[in-house]
Order: sequence, then C-alpha cells, then structure tokens
Amino acid sequence: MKNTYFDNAATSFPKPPAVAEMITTYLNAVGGTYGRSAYQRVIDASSGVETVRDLMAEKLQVEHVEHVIFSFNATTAINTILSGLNLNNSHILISPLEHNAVTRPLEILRGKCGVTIDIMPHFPDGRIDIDNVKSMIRDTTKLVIVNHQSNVNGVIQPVDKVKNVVGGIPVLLDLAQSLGHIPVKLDEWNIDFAVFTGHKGLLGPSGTGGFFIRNPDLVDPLVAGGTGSRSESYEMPSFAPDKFEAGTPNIAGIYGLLGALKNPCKRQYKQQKYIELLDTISSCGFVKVLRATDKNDQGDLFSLVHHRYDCSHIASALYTKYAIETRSGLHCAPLAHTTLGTFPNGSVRFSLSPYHTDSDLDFLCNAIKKLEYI
Amino acid sequence: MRTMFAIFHSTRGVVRANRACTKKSIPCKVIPVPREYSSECGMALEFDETVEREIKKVLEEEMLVAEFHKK
Repeated sequence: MKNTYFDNAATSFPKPPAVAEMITTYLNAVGGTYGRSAYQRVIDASSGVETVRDLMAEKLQVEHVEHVIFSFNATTAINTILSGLNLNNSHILISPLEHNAVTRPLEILRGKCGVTIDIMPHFPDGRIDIDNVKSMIRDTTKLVIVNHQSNVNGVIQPVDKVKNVVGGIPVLLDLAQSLGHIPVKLDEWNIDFAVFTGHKGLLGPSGTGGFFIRNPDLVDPLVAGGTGSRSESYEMPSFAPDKFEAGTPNIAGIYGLLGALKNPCKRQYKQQKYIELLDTISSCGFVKVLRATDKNDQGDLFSLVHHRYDCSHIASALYTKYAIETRSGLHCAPLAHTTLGTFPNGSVRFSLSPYHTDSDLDFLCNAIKKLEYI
Repeated sequence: MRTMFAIFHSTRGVVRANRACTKKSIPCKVIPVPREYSSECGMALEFDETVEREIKKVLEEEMLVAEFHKK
C-alpha cells in the first residue's frame, strides 16, 4: 500500500504499533501515578517512566540521565530554558532558520528584559558560516541557539563546530526535527541545553518531549508544584529531574514513547533514492526546491515553491489528485523563510518517514512532475 | 533483627535502587516514605538489617545517595 503522508515534520504517521499498544497497556492495566505513594501500580508506572528516561539519555548520548527532563513538547522545553535563564540585558545569537518556538519567546524577552538578538552569518541555504561567527560574539553574549535541522529546507547545522567556535558560551540546540533522523551526541559536542519532541522523528505520541540540561543550577523552573519529593517545603526541589517536573507527567504518552523507542523503524527508502528525487524535482524547471546546497547537509525534508502557483494551490492539488498530504505556508518559521527569500509566500513542505519506500518516493516524484499546469 | 529504610531524594533514585537490588536478588520492598523519617509523599526502600551491607554496596555501585534509618 502506498504511503502518501508527507507531513512527518508536523507529526509522524504511521507510528510503530507498539506505541498504541503501550498506551493501552498503561491505561488499561498499569495505571498508577509517578512517584507518589508506593503500591505496585505506582512502582510499575514510575519504573516505566524511568526506563524512558534511560532510553532518551541513550538517544541523546548523555551520561547524566537525571538531567533528561520530560515536558509536553519541545516548545514548552524551550520556554522553560529561555525564561529560566537569567538573560536580562544580554545578547543572544541565533541560527538563521529558527522556528517561532524560539523566536516568539525571544521576542517576549526582548520586550521585557532588554535582550538583543543577532542572526549568525550564513550561506544562501541557511547553513551557518562558521568562520564568521566569532566576530558576532560580544561581551554580553550569553546564549547561542541553533536549530539542528530546519523544518523548512531540512538543512542540518554543524552544531559541533558552532560549539567549538563559541567556546564557553552556552548553546541551546533545538532537536525537534533532527532527533530520530540523524545521530545526536550531546556529551561529545558539549551541548549545554537541548530540546526534543517525542512525536516526530522518534515516532512517539504527541504530548511528549523534554530537554537535556547540563547544569540544572543555571535555570529556574517554569512551572512550580507537587513533585512527590521534598513535600515539606514550599520551594521546588533544587535537583533534577524533580526541579523541572512539577505536576503529574503525561504517563500514558511516555508509555507510548517507550513503545516507539523500543521498536524503531529502520528506514525503508535509500538515501540515494531521496537525493535522486531532489535532483529530479530541482531540474523540473517550474519549481524552486528549498534544500541544502551540499547533499551531506540534507535532512529528511525539503520544500518547493512553484513559479506559477501559490503553495496552498499546490498542496491542494497534490491532495486532491494524488492523496499526497503536505504542509503549505510558513511552517511557523517566518525567519527561516525570510532567510531563504520565500517570505511571506511560503512553500510546500514534504517531510519523510522511515516507513516510506523507494516506490513511495517515485510516486511523489511523478506527482510533482505533473504539476507544471494545474 | 531490625528493619531498615533507605530514603532517596527523587523517584528515580528509588526506582534505580529497587531495580539494582532485584537484579542481585537482595530482598527489599518499596514502601511509602515512613512519616517519622520524612514528610515526603513518595517511595522508600525497606529491608532487613541483615542485608544492609549488600544494599549499601549496590547503592554505592549505582552512585545513589540515600539516607538510612533503623527501626
């Protein structure tokens, strides 16, 4: 059966069957909350959550498992870090392909805390120009934010090189589109903060996500409340993960994520086939493809702009004629589209899943080739 | 023989300690944190003092910090 769902950057589909099975198991059999009281259901539920924390630490390649924090999505995680760091009157460097999950919280900080923001120098495809980053650093630069893989053209940023150049300045890495698709090595890269979501590349359910924090002392919690620990105190615990996990977590969702992490799908399509698809579409003549200049920097998504029709028209035609599901518009990333010269019109985005086959990519390619005149 | 309790600062600590002890077949039980030792509302580990040394060794291997009480 053809897989015509090409909107995996919004949320992945299909999921490994174990995702639904584990959610059902939790809801119908395990039950119990996390870390409050001590009957068997609580022990089992708590143990399940901690198993996912172990697996996430493995995925992120970090030694300090307790510094992996669960939240409801990458956006909440970014807000926790940006609002919890003391960034008053500081200067922040950001990558040129940032999502609104970063730029909107920064806009609030700009208005309230006198934060100034600069975009790192970059190449036409949005890849950071490492050689020219150092000159952007000021005495007041307190944070560097990098979108690991663009949600518009799929460009993968050289985060290890960015960290090398900025030295001791903390780096916040947004893994929303990359984790599950490409290897992440937070300890090796010496990354200070990294946010992730469970429902995209990891193939888990929505409502799961979180962040890694190298030094929990640097950030105040965004949400305060019950944790099951230090209950005598009106103050939040000072240690991770409790410091950042007030309230009952999304245990059902985390069990779903457990199902995903234990049953990953091996990528069905070949990288060569994907690059051929990009090359074929790029040579069509009636579209501009938003992609990485170097194929080695290309993640599992790309966009296109039609020379004749607007992006919503193309998305609609693909769906009506071929049942191909895509996302058109600005993808919540006006900065990225400005960088790529496609603001405010936007583009049509195609984002792949490991479940896609070579034959699915052929089907997509043939459909796009027929779009010269609609 | 006296009963002992290990109290950890986080849920993760109890879960890891319980897993490690179970793996090594050291008898212990997860119980609600006894009120006389802490006002926390989470979990603690209960065990017989005869396995105190084994439990402490496991916790050391796992780099887990706990507060111990005897009843």
